[in-house]
Amino acid sequence: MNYQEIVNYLKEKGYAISFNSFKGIECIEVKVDFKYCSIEFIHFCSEELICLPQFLLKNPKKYGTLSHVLSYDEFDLASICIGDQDAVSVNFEKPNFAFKESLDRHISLIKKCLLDKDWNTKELLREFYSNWLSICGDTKQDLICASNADFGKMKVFKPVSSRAYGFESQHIGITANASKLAEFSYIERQKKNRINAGLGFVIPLDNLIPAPTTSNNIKNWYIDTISNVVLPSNILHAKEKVFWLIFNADTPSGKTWFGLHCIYKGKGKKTIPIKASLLDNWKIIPIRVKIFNKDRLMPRSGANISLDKKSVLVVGCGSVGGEIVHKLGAAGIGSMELCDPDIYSLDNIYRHVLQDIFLGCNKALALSVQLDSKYPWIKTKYRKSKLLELRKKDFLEQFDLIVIAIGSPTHERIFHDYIIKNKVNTPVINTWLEGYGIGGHATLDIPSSKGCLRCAYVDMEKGVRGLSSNLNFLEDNQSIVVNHAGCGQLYLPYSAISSAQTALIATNLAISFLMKSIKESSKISWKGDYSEITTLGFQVSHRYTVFDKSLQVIPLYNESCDLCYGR
Amino acid sequence: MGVQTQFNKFHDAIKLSKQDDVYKKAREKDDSITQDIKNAFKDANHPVIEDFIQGSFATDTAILKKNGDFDIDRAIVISYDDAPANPIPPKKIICDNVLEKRGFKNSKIKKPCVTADYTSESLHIDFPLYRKIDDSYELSIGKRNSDEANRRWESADPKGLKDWIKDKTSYWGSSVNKLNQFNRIVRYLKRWRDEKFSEEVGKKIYSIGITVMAKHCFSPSFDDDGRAEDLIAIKDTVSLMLSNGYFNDQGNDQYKVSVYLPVTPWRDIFDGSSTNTSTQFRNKLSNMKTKLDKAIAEDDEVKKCTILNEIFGDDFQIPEEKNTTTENNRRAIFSSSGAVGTSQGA
Repeated sequence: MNYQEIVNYLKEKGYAISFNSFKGIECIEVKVDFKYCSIEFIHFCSEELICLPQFLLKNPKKYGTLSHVLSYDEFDLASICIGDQDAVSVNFEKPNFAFKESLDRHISLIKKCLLDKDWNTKELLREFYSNWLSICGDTKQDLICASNADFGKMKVFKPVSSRAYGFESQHIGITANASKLAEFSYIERQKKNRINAGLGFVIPLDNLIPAPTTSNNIKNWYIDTISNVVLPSNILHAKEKVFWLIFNADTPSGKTWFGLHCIYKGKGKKTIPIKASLLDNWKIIPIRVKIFNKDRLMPRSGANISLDKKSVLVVGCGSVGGEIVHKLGAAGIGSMELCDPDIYSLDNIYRHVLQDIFLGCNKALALSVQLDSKYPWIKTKYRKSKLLELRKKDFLEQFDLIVIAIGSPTHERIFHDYIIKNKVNTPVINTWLEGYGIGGHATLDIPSSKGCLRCAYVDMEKGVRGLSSNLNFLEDNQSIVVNHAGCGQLYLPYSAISSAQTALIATNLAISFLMKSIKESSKISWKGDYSEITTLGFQVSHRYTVFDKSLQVIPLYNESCDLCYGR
Repeated sequence: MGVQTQFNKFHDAIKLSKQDDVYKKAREKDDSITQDIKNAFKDANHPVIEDFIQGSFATDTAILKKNGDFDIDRAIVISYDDAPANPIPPKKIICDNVLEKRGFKNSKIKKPCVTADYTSESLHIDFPLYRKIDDSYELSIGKRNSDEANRRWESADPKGLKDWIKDKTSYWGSSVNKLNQFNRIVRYLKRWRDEKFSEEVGKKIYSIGITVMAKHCFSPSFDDDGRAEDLIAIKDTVSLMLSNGYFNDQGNDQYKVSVYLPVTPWRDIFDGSSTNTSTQFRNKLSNMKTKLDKAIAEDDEVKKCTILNEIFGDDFQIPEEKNTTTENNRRAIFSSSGAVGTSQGA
């Protein structure tokens, strides 16, 4: 980078900028005069501009505790956070402009911190968690806490030895009140093979003090904090050599959790130190706390907590169904019943979500095990039934939604007949894909709404009930299936991308319906490339040639459907 | 219910297919005559080596004529080696030794075929005669008394013509449905011809000419869900037929139509047609196009169908005025297929 050009440019723009050196490292220095003080920034020169240029604040202690500013005491410098670097696209072709932009942002932020004390304090609380993380050491002390936010006594367990990652690599803390939480059975399983790591307490804070800027200040921060808390007697009188104190407090960005690992180095056991004079021989280590709590974790990790009460029956646990149940689980569906009589085999391995450890296992059972181990709050059941064996009104009506992913138009239409004749009031999604990556489809049939599975099966040329879906992108009566080993070994060629894409549209339909953003019977398709199909001499349907609503949800109702017409 | 429903009813009313009882009865007669021809040709030392249906039954474009008449084109093929150099004597065998003996009073040797009418059955059978060399066919051309200059074995490709008409490889997406729509359009055009021309002129607006023009100009039309839109399709097809260079302006609002066979002998199907025939053909086609445009622009279904009834005649029904009460039930019509192969999986 041509720093001379950058410096010249910034000078032209009125900045007091000069080349300098800091502990032997070449840098540029900028002085900015405020009303009552002067601030110095430095930037260490680099070869390439790969992000917004960073300017460090010199002598940060002079200004007190500033939000978005992280001190490096040993150098008397502080970094300034001007936002998420990944959220900006930097003009690396014109570094002059990038430097000016960055400098302006740094100056503006520091000015705001200095001139607006209230804002600065609020920001310090808002960013409490990230500041806390900056003073935590390695991850060995990290603790997963299963608790609600009230005062509580907590058993803490050590990580399973030799585990470098995963749940078992971290401490877990479980309070008595956690047994009332839905996740308790899941978290209980995590206690296996662990040994006790000491006693802990959950302590809610009403008045949060901004996090210390360095770990050296942790004892002062602790005493300032604990002295403002009225601790219950069971906490005050507990004596141990090791305590895990897990705090929670409301901040402008929501409830935040963090902790201290307190170790007494003297003889015997001690109560929790609540005065500065009692801190001798106590080592206080700030730790990261990950709260294992449905209300926090589900939204934070991408699930929707409102789906927790929903119950879905998924029939067909093949490559499409397997993807669907995972996506439904990831969305936060609370309970699922999975049905499939098939056994997971080597022939499925590349396009199915199951791992090889499930070879020979019933697919529904294997997926149920997988879901239970992945999603803490899910409840799954499985059965080895075929679709047509599920024609029981009472059974079907206990679900909020039925998803059918079996790719069998005959059975799906027979099942639909049963639904209609018996007035089963549970909505049904039928989903299937077509071979060679040409596309996939899903229909949502809501009994109270116009549009049903039969709408997707009207023979559009004759206007009569058809035998194959009018959503299909391939013409009927073509030998699409591949026969490698004779009868019973036929299969439809498609990749995991096709099954995943199909599962995505079906799940999207399911979630949108369960979230009430779709209230009418609907259909959705994704359209793939036709090159392989035409190379093989297969014919596409007219719908394929004109379809331009890929991934869009559109009404299912077909005016030629004898079941829906006039409804 | 939509204008397409009326088109479907119209098509059901005019179409004639191999599955129809009337055709099956006619086939029995046709088979019986063909057997007599085979016997007669065997006795004459030029045995029949092949016979096949050609024409509109072969291409699924046959219609019932308004008077109920219909045609069957039965090709009779003899070997090149057994065929006489003069193409007329074998035609005489068909006419004199077979048809007349079976009591046909009006059997006739026409230039491209021998023809006979079953007046009691409203059946009209044409027997084109070919000789075959390797995979090629030559058609016997000439009337009973044609001199050497007017009779010949002329190269022809009846199967190639059939394949060309039935070809669907150029249709992108649901090609079967598009070919079916093409077949319907040809039937509509034939019925329009029978409605709009005098018998004398209409018989010179050859079905094969209409079919070849329509094939070249066919513009399929389906909505996004795949519902056929025959009204749009026929309008677009007729538009192209008018603008595709078939009608040559002769001045004074007179035209000459030329449509070449798409296979050997590549001749002009309308060669020899009068200017009057061509001009009527062009003007009535243009008039139809205007009315089709009007029908498309019309929102009211009854008015729309009234216009189409004017074009195609009474077999195109005008629906009754819409009932003010909503039709709440529709009878389920089931597929006539036992099973279809689908591309569905999961």
